[in-house]
Amino acid sequence: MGLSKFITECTDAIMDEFEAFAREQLPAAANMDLAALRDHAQQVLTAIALDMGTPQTMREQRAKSMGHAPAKEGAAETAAETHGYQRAAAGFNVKQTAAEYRALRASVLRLWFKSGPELGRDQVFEVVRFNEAMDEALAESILFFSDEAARMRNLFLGVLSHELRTPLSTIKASGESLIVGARLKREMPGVAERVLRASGRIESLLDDLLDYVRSGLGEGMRVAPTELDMRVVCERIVSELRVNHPSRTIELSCDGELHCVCDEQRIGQAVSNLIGNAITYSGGDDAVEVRASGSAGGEVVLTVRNFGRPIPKETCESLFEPLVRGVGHAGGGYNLGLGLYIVREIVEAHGGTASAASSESAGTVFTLRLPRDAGSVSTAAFQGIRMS
Amino acid sequence: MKSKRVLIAEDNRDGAESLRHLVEAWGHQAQVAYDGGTAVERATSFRPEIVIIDINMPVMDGYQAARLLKVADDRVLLIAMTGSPTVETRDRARDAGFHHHYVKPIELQELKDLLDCDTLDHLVPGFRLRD
Repeated sequence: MGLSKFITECTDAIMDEFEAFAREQLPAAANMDLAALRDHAQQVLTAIALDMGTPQTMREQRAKSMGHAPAKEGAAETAAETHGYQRAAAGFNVKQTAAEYRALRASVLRLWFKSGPELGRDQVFEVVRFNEAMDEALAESILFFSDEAARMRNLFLGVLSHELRTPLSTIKASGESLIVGARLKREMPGVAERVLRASGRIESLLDDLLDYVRSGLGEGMRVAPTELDMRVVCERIVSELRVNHPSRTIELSCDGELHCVCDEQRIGQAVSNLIGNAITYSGGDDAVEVRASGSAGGEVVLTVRNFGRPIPKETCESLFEPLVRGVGHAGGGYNLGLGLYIVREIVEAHGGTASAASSESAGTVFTLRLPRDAGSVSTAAFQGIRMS
Repeated sequence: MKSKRVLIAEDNRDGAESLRHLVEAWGHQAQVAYDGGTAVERATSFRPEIVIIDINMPVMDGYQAARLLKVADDRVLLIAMTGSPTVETRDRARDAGFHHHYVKPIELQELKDLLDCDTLDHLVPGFRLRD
């Protein structure tokens, strides 16, 4: 059977093979909807089979092999374009995006050879055309991926600039007040405190930025696990946030064995980010519920629940990706779109998992599952996070 | 220089309070509101001559607040401030009736000159975007 016919007739078998590869090789695919992954690969294949079925002159073939194919209206372009955008938004890196095409190409050729085709001059030509069409789709996809990635980075820089300007305004106006106050020999109550709070805010924005930059460079999050009581950590974080948000109710409940080994400062940061988000995205009268429970199975589970507007399932899956900001975000809260990303990095560096679920009745719940002894697993998890 | 009534609408409390402090130190009377709705409400009793409004606010954004303030008093001087200035924020500020569009952090000497001005010259729109 010819290759293009094989692609059209054995799509299901090819998709099964491709999916198995994708699951195994692409960490970001774990967050992706199974149907979406298959759906896209199928679209690309259909377009490619169509392209292979169209007669092509030697000249066109040479132009295509050198990357000068004429721009055409067609499914291949649309599928590759969509692919590039979607992968950027789903948190894939460029390597993973390209790997999907590699997987697709390998799945098709492996299965076709296994079917024992006659291998003559025509078949060799077909393989050449198949490879050209794959390369073209890959090149398009990467182009759109990089465009989308650049757009998201620019948006992020705009948000960062905005978030830095607010505390900077406070510092500048306060400094000026102190000068005027000194001239008038007048006390300026509260001014110095405002300067310190605003500086603290800038510092924490820059800390988040540094965590993000480091993780993007492939270093992952460094953690220093020590023995601690999770109850004590949660109590400390909750009481800090109660002081900062006196009008809000934050409930804490603890049960089970909560002695464990993890990085106290980092886990505290993760819990604090989750509670901070819960406060930002829920109404002023709703309580935020924090729970820490130690299971017999050697896990410590932390959950933070709020009753803000429910989050659609698709959004829940991408919440932990960097630069994603929730909808309904009031201008007052500070948010770089890095909070949940940092939470996930922290938890994964401990060998644990972070997830989100949301419904009208149960509210929005963020769950962190941590192994009781992160000291023994953190190094392994640390090395295993990224695909090399 | 005549002392003026200045209303500051800004959702970041420290940002609002630090500006209020400074405006008072300059010899004016100042009040703050942490969202657009409260600003419009406060204006009815405080009757500000100048309102400094952060565009990006909850409940009611700065554009909408500006429109309502203008309806209540068409002689009020409206100053918009934003942390993410774009051509769009500037044009929308103009359409909403703002006289000035400032980028955070505000150029303080320029603000002081505006507040101190006793003629109506300051009502001439001055729209700027940082280069």
